[in-house]
Amino acid sequence: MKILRVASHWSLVTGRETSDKRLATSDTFLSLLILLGILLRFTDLPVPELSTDEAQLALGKSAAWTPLAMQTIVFIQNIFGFETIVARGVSVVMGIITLPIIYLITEHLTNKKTALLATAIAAIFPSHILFSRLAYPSIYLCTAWLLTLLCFLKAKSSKNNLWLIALFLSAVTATFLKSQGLVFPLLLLFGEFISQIRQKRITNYSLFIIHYSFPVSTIILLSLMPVTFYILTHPGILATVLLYGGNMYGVSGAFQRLMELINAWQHTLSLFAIFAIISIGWWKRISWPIWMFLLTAFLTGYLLGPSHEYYSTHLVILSIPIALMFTRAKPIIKNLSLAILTVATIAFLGPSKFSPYVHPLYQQESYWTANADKINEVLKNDEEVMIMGYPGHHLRWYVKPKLLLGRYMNEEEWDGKILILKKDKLEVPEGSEVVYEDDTLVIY
Amino acid sequence: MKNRSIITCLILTILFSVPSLIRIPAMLPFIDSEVRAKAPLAIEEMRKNGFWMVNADIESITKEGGRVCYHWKHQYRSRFEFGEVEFITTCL
Repeated sequence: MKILRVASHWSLVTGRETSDKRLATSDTFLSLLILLGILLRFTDLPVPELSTDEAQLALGKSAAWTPLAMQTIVFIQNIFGFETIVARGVSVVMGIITLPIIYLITEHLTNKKTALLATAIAAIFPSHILFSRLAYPSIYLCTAWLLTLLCFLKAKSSKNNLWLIALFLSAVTATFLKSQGLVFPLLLLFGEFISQIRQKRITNYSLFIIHYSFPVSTIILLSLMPVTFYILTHPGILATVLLYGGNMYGVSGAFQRLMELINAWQHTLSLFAIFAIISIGWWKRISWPIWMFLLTAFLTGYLLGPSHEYYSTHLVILSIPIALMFTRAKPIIKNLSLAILTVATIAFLGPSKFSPYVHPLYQQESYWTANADKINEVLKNDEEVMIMGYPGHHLRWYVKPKLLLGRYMNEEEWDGKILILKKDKLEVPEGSEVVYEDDTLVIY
Repeated sequence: MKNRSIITCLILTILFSVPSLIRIPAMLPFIDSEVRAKAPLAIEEMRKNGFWMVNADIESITKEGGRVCYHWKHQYRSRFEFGEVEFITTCL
């Protein structure tokens, strides 16, 4: 801890920006970084094939999720077409919208200069760029949560009561994008409660809920009610929690979960992880709602699937403490650090044709992009195909005929074609006529 | 003014909750332990048709002749088509 304290405060003896000219250059540099970040979010959109989770979102149906993210992406695709680039294009827009929200949050807490710096860091934040390019609801949720955070900060400090309504609407939006969207508003409510106790403003706990001296708390509580009723009347969500509870969901194997989470985060953050750790000394200067956002990022990843990289999207909030740290550094150190982080991000997430260090997702050959047409040609006369094993939802994205899940069906009663994925290690019955085979699947 | 904002949000809460609240009567049978116990079996019956359960929603539950009947709405979805909506009943 002593080393970290020293590392975080070394810059106190180094000095600050003094000339307007260096300030102007710095703003231009930061603006260019923001532009770069925006461009990187558009890079290689169609390259990786759609994953199973992306396909589930793009097809707009899951009993386990609240509906708004799915309805949004289906609405957009109904206009522009059901294409990979359209599905991911919605994420790009969400990712870009995040940047001015980060600016406004940081400006509220500090000043314009630090806000621009935080926005530039967020623009080149690798996990945020990665999931701005993929059709996962995590980017939608990150944007809605950050908007909720901004509205919360404004509602607490501003006399303009429209911020209370904005807070309500942003929190409801978050809860209806994905079921876990209620985590951050819940933690804000908890944090507000603790904050009021510490300020000794709560004397009668039983009246806390309805006490109009705490309008922000009342608003957040109201915002949680529609999703509560939704979850209670749509059994699929609770059924999914029960289905995965105890293995993917929960706290079983606590230490292993933590290691998986750290591994997933360090893989997607690359050098940003180091700067985030060094900036720990500045975290105590951040107000508690930011801590709650970070806690939300940790809890959702830890409890719901530590190996899922998409939970690292929310770590973009670390751009704020990193920016605070940089504001106290000498300009040359700040600019050199930003340059290193930029180079690391370009290497990791730049155009895959030019970088050998690009994220593995962009290094893998996209099987379905290359072979879907061939497979659909083989199946062109089939209305329905039975698929055995454990196929992902992405097969419904790439395969044209209707797919019936064969593992619960009676195979002997089926007289159409059957598709098996070789990863499931299933045998083709003797005497079957194989009509197509490659390294990934067999159709007979 | 703050009270007006809170009242506005209260009205919005009710409006956003209405689509869920009108489903309560249809979901009340889940209070019955027999309904809850047979629900996984009903899902297995649906799967015997080759359905991706992600495409199915439970619409209502009734008791008929001593059996629990689950009424589903199913629509196959792929990039190429959103199939016809089917209403399926599984009784156990």
